[in-house]
Amino acid sequence: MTRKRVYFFVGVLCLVGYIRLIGHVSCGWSHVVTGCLFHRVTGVPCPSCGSTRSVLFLLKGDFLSALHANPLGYVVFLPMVVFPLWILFDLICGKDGFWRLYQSAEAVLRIKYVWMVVLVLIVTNWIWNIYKYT
Amino acid sequence: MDASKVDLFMMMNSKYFDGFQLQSVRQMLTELPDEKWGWVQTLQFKDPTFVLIISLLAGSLGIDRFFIGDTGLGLGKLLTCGGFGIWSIVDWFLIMSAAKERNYRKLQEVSIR
Repeated sequence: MTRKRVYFFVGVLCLVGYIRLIGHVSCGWSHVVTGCLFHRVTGVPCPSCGSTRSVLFLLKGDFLSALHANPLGYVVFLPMVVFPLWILFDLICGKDGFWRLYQSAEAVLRIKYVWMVVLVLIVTNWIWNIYKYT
Repeated sequence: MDASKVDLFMMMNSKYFDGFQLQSVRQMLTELPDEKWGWVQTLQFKDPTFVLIISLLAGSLGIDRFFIGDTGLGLGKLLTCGGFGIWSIVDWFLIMSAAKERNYRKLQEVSIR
């Protein structure tokens, strides 16, 4: 995966995330767009279903409801604020700090114990999600 | 490396690479010293068709990206419901060439090492 492509993917992902958030806040998309392909096909919520709701609660300052909607909302919220700014900074100043962060994060995630812990956390969250939303 | 060995490799493994990469794969192998033939033979390439099947079935969980080794992007895909449903559809068309590029990189690493 080249540097340019990672910047493109993450940038577009953040942009779509913001469009989605704005749609939810100002146009009331919550009844129109569910977005999750997995949920539509199988009827079972995916591990990150509810994170949009969670981010919306976080924006209102309701931290407990955000945690209940989906704890991954916290994990999504911070990158959505930091990453676009960082990418812009890198592109304007011609640096590659974000690219180096991405590479070192990948290296850390390849360590067996780290990804096993992450996997267990995500699966636990998924089970909780299925229990909550079905 | 021997032309016959290169031909054998190309016959066995051409499906793992993109059409435009084949010529440079052939050149890379021809320039490779003979003692690396063992290394090249033991390389495990990801089958692009298999990756596509994974992408169709479990793409919105990011498992296709994890499988070809893009751990960071896989996690990003997992945490956003497959990139809000859009990325998982886009990846049905991108994932095969991404897998082929990964295979090419793998071969490149062996030839540099």
